[in-house]
Amino acid sequence: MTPERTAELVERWVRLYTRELPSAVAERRVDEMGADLHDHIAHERARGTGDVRIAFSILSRMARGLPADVSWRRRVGPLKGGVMKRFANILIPILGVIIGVPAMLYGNADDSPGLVLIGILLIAGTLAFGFVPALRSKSRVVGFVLGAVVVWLAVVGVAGWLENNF
Amino acid sequence: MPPRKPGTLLPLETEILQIALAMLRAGHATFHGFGLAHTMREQQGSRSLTAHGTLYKALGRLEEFGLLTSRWEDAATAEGRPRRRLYELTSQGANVAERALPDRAAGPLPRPASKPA
Repeated sequence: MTPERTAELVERWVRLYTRELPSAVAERRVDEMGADLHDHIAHERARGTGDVRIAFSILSRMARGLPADVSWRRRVGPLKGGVMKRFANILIPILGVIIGVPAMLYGNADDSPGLVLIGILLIAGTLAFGFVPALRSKSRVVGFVLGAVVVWLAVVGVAGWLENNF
Repeated sequence: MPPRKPGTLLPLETEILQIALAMLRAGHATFHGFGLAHTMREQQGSRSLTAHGTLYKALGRLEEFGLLTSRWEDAATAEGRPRRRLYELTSQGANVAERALPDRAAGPLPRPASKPA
């Protein structure tokens, strides 16, 4: 994991949650985040911080800010069905796999059952999302809410742990 | 982040105004998102930078309240890196920040009404 790849992930997330907003609003957020990520990486490298730690720091900032991103998105422009569906179908499984698998592997290697449990919960949430489209619409809503909470908690926990231990 | 009481600023928003005022007094009229996050981390002695979503949502709200203004950095100044969004304290924001320290001890700081869209 490199800082640049993590920054790309953040930029993809920003482009996702700014979809269907007026272009001026969306472009401002995308460009401002691009500048922030560039400054973050440049500043940390100048301090001699390792690439892995920079990457986890960026990931942690993104994960901790997810609720605020969603809140901001809902305030500046109502989420339409298509956007919500993309949130569930694209972002959550990607994050689930990216964070869940390393969490389980690292937890095993480091004899850390808590981290393994987080990884398992994360993977379980991701699998639940995989089955959501096959479920009835009512179950899909419940699945989205529960899965989102599980994934968010797992991402915040794992990213924070990694940030503080690397 | 604690819930917002109607008509008040959140602690993070007050902190941003205070840092902006300190920067202004130090001769730095403008600041940008990452610089602000870095300054807050230094002041708090924290290991983590403020989250992206939290930071830019707070900056946006302060701009809506008329306490900050923002503009894009000149391309020439950027020298090849992505242009930063530069924020500046308004006179109203400076007044609110001036009152922030004594008022924070007494509770959440009242905020002015939002600017019309």
